[in-house]
Amino acid sequence: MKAPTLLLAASLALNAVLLASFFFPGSPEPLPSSAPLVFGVSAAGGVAAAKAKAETWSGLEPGNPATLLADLRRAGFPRKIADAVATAEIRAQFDPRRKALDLKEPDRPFWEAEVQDPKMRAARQEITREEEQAIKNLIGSDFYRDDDYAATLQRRFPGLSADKLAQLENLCTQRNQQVAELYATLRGDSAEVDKQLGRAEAEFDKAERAQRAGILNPEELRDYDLRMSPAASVLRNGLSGFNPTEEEFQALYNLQAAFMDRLGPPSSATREDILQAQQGLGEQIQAALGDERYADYKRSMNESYQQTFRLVTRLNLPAETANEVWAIQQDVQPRMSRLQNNDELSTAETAQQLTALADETKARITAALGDRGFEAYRQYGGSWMQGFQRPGFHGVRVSPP
Amino acid sequence: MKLPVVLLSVSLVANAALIAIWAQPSFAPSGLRDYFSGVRSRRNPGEASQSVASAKNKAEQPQPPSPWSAFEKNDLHKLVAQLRAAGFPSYAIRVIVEDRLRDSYAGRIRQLTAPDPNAPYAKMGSGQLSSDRFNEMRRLNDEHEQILHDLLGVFAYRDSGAITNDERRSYGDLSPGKVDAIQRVEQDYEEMKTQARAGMDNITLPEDKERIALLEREEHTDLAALLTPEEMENYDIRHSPVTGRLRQAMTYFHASESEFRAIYQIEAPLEDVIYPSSSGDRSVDDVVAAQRQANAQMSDQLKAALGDERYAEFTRSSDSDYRMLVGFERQQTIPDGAALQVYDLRDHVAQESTRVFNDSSLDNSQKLAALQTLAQSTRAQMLNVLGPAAGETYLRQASFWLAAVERGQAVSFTPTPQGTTSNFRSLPAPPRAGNAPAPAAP
Repeated sequence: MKAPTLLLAASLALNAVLLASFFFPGSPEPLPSSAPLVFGVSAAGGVAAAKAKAETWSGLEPGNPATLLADLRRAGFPRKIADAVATAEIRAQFDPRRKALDLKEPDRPFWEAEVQDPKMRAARQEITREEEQAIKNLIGSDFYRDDDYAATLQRRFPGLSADKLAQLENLCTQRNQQVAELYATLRGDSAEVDKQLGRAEAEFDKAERAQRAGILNPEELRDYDLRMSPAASVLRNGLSGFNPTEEEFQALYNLQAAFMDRLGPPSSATREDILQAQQGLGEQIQAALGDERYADYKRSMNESYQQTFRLVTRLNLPAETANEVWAIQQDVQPRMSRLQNNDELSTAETAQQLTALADETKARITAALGDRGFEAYRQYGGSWMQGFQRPGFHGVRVSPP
Repeated sequence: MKLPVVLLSVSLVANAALIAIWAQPSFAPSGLRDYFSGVRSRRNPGEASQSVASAKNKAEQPQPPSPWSAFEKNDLHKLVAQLRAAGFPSYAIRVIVEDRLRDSYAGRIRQLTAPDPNAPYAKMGSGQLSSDRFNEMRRLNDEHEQILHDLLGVFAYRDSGAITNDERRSYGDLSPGKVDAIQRVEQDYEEMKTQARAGMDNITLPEDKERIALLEREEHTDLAALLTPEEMENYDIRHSPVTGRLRQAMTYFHASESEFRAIYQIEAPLEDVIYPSSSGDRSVDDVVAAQRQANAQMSDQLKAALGDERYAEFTRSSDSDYRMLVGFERQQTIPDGAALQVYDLRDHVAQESTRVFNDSSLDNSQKLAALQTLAQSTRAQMLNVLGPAAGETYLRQASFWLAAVERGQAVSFTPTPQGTTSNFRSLPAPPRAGNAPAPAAP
């Protein structure tokens, strides 16, 4: 008989033996008790209740969480309740070790901060590691389930089928497990760990997106990306002053997502890479939006404008007021700079003209925002007015408005 | 690819999976684990031959209800009573009750937090709730908390019925029931403050500060209704920002309770002057002058209360350099006593740099050389005492004053209750080339 055929026969025989060992164990695990599980549901008192109690929680072998879990499930407890009870049992088993460490630490008065004793910290971390490992061994990948993500999916995608939602949740669980297992293996200083983690997460993201494409149809996948992706969040956070149409948003999303894919994790990119990529992105956005809307977009990206826009919103003023104030800033700043650096003016003339400019600035911005708004603007969006204090050629400073 | 090769590959992969599941059952999908667990637990060598008949008999008989089905699901009081009667411990009862409560509220919470499905992608909200929805969420949360406490009492959030060490530090020796009531008030107001801050969108207007201050006053009123005046005073001192700020120094000062309370009573009235939240209408110069005056007053009062020696130890404990050095000692990366030895080098450098600076027998270049030598020898001493690792860390982060001495500056230190202030005097800069004074006429 030829070797490959012999090998096939041996492998098939091993398949049969292994399958048989599951179905026909030589030494099966005995039941915790030969009697059916009984729970003292009548809550009656006396001897009957005591007997019932003796056959109940204690009969479940709480000391053995794996058996406890199996028995709770067999007793019809819903899966997540059985998991939660068995997990709570494991945590309760680790509590005495934590309490023993607490007793070893000196009693700290309330006016002192906690001091990190490295040996105590290491001991606590070890307990946490063992506890988490025990829970993972018990409930498997459910340990990594993110209930908040599941709830978010249900809220944002009410039209998705339960099956698709469950598959997306499983993807998230798998990813959490991958990240946790990778993190446990990383070594080095925090910057190096961040870099490695960033690179790995970028790969996980790619793989997760490919799997998501297998679960959702193209329309559903697009909807998911526009609601949940980091690129969409970045855009929404930065575009409030731009007020894009849906078409503009989707065009910007396509460019932003491609940009973030190309650049990779921020911790791995050099400053030069980022600047170059941003310039390229800027040109693409200009081509997509046209010159006029691109100018609006660039303005909305400016931090000072963003603060001004938020302030205008808080003051319940029309959104255009932010553009008015921005226009004042664009007008005044160059004039301020020219005055400060004009060597044809004497010191006194410079001071006089700067003061006049500061007064004019205050009057114009107050007309737009009101007195209360102007005071707030000095702190939110108007820090450029501190430039009146910066010395120019003559070293002249005036009080900002 | 030939069929036998394909079959062999599949068979080998199946073997690998089966061996992994056999060795570590948790690798198997849970449904499979349950199935095999059930099969194994039903099997018995003695009954193997009767298994088919018994299975058939079992299938023909009506199945008894599962024990879980006998538990009351809708009446939580009954459920808790049943679980207790069945001997379930408090932590198991808590997770079961929390699960039932979460399920019963999940639908309503989902409705309240559901975003508008028709909102344009560009305008999807931040998740912040409107004030109506927020108030309804609060009402549901309060209801949820109340039910949990009604059902489980002090075991709603604790296993042993006793307060923890951290709770004792936060609240004093209060009963678990009182601590729970305080925590519910704190949580309630924290949610309201969080909602208020979220609405500010990182812009704090004067009315926002007033709103937060009002919530804090109302919280204080609600707490005062739960506590005796003495308990309330105790709570205030434990949660005061003054105590929060003092904790770091206290950790290195090891104050007795009477010393701490004396320091607190002196610092608390001056908190708003020394750490103002805003300058208001005052100029920066006015604010700084007021701070200087308050600091001087505080120093005098603390010296009188603690005595000179303990005052010196208190100001030293307020110094971040000293705390870093003691931190190394606590981590056992430097020998005992090394922290103080290195810290005291500072005073030596201050005295010596001042002496060199004032020495009229030296010209500026000689003074600069002497100061550089002083800095370098001090650096070498520090590395010698602290070792390379702790020494490099300390020199990199804490000894900016040593670098100043190396550049030709004399340094002096003024200990204050807020830490040490450093003062520098620079040697005159050498004249620039080309600007040398003209030689005297012959």
